[in-house]
Amino acid sequence: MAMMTGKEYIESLRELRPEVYFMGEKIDSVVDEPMFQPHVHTAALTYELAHDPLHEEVMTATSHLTGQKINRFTHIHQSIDDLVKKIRMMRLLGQKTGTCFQRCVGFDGLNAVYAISYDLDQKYGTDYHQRFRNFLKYVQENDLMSAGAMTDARGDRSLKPSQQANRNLYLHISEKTNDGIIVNGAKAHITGVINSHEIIAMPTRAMTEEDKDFAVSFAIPVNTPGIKLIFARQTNDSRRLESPLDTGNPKYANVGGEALITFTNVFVPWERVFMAGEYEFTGQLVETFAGHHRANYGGCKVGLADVVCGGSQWLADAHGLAKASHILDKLTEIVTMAETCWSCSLACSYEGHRTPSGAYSVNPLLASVTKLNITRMVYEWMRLAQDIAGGKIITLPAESDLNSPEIGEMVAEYFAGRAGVDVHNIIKMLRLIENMSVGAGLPEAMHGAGSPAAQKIIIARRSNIEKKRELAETIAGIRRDENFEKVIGKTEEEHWRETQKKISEKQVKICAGVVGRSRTK
Amino acid sequence: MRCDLVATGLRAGRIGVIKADRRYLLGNRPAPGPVATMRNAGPTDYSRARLLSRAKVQVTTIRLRIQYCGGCNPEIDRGSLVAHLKQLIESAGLKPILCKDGQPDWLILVNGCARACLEEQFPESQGWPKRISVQGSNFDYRPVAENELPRTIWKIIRQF
Repeated sequence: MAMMTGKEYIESLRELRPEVYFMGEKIDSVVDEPMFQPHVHTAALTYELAHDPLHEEVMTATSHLTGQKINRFTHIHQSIDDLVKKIRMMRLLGQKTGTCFQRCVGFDGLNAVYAISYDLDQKYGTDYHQRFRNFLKYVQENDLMSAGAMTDARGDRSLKPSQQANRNLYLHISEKTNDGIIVNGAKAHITGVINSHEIIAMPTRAMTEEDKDFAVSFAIPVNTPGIKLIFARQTNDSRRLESPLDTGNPKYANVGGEALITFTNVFVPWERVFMAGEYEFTGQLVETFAGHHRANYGGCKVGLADVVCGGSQWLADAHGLAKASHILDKLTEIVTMAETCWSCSLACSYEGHRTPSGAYSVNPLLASVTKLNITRMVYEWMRLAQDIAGGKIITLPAESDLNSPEIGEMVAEYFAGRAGVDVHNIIKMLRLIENMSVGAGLPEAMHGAGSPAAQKIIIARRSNIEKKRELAETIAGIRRDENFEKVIGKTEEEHWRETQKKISEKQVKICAGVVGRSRTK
Repeated sequence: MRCDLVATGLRAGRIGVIKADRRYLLGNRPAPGPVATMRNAGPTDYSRARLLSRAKVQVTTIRLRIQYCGGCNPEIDRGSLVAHLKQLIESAGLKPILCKDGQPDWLILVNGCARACLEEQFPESQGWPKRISVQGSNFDYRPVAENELPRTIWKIIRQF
């Protein structure tokens, strides 16, 4: 089957009919529900752009399984070039949608499970990797969207999964049968799941032996019996029911669209199970996934920064402030921070490495640095965007007031900018900046791919402090400096002994000179 | 018929000898072997391609392979550049035919920025006889105004 277009993807969702709940109601059709449509449109763009010659270079790849051209979101990275192209694709899609486009979580899940299932088989002689390859081939051939489901509900964070009063707070294996496993529990904050075809479940933390039932990874269609999806309320979401103008980004929404997935006695056949109790590999799986996912943020969020920067400048220009030095300075600050994060994403990709499975992975230290920078800089550049846009972004009347026969003209008159700029466009742009900078997108940038503390754990673990200590000891003369000894041709001790002797001799001469001079006086 | 041609480099001291088959010159089959590479790679020496094309025949069509980079953050509007180029070609009475593979008359790499990702995939050393690379707002590694890029490319093409 060839790659789907955006339209074909949307139609493919109609057949699924997952069990979705939102605001107390069961939703009949994800595709037709107005609250979900912007998220569906966003994901559709990940399909549509793969057919655009202007972008297929980053949007597509060649499958290492089949040799066919596939959407890059279904690809396993085979080279450093693949890692870099992924980041370029992220920035492109951020620029085109102005929001989280959801599909990368499953993409990173595919890559993580591919690498770790291989390692699992090497140690235990299992056949997880071949099962996963079969699943992957199915995903590639049908151009499916997978939702990466990692985060458990977790309850009391100070307790391990097996210590929780309610075992369902972590997804776990309740029963193993000849045909498969039965799982119960939940996964939280899962981006794009209501408009995905498959769910790829992964453990959320490193586990120990007592937690082995919680060490589980599998793939399952989103409409599997026993699965419920409960969609989140997010900032300003109901505006899309009221008015496109007030929504800000009515086509694509302002955040990915997250849901809680509950699993109640869900059966997973063995051919779809990629980890079942091998707790020793849970930490590695989490870290591999996290590395891939954190690397994205310097691409996707920088694409959003490009939009926000352009929107802010547009507003400044519309109000006659394009040349104001403080505006130019703030825009430069936005660009500086955005490109810093872009640099980080490129760095962790270019510094990537091959894994035993043959797939490539990013540099995990630099990936965590990327994400940690994002958690700070996104808030700062959005702050600057609000600064440039002005207080209007939170005091604008509704679209219905703008369209009111009674007061519409007044609204248009008092919210105008400089001559020649349509006030409707000014309001559209103000709403875009409002909704991109004040809303769910910021916490998503903070917590997606792990909260800041999680990044710091990786950074601290991989900072190689011991090596850095040795560097300082060598320079300080505490540790032997072999390079220095080669330069001077003797040991440091000999060198400093001779140097001290010379200093002493010179002091004697100086003193002698001084004494001599004083005597002649 | 085999033709021995001596191509003289534009820059002092660069001379390459190219042996070519007539059918290759007319773009109907791949070159029989690697074309001699010019030393001291710098801005592209189109004189070589010009000499290769001296065995001219009347043409009404021109086969172009347009390769776009991924456009992750382009400095230029790549689509408009190609559209404008096609207009220039048509206004000269030629019909541009876009091909995705095979042996085009011209390979045109449309990179959105100076990083020029496509040049790794389609290096000059691959032996493309007629290859043009736009590198964002650079052409031949020198800055060119975006609105001048189509004309700059057309100037090269129409020399042949």
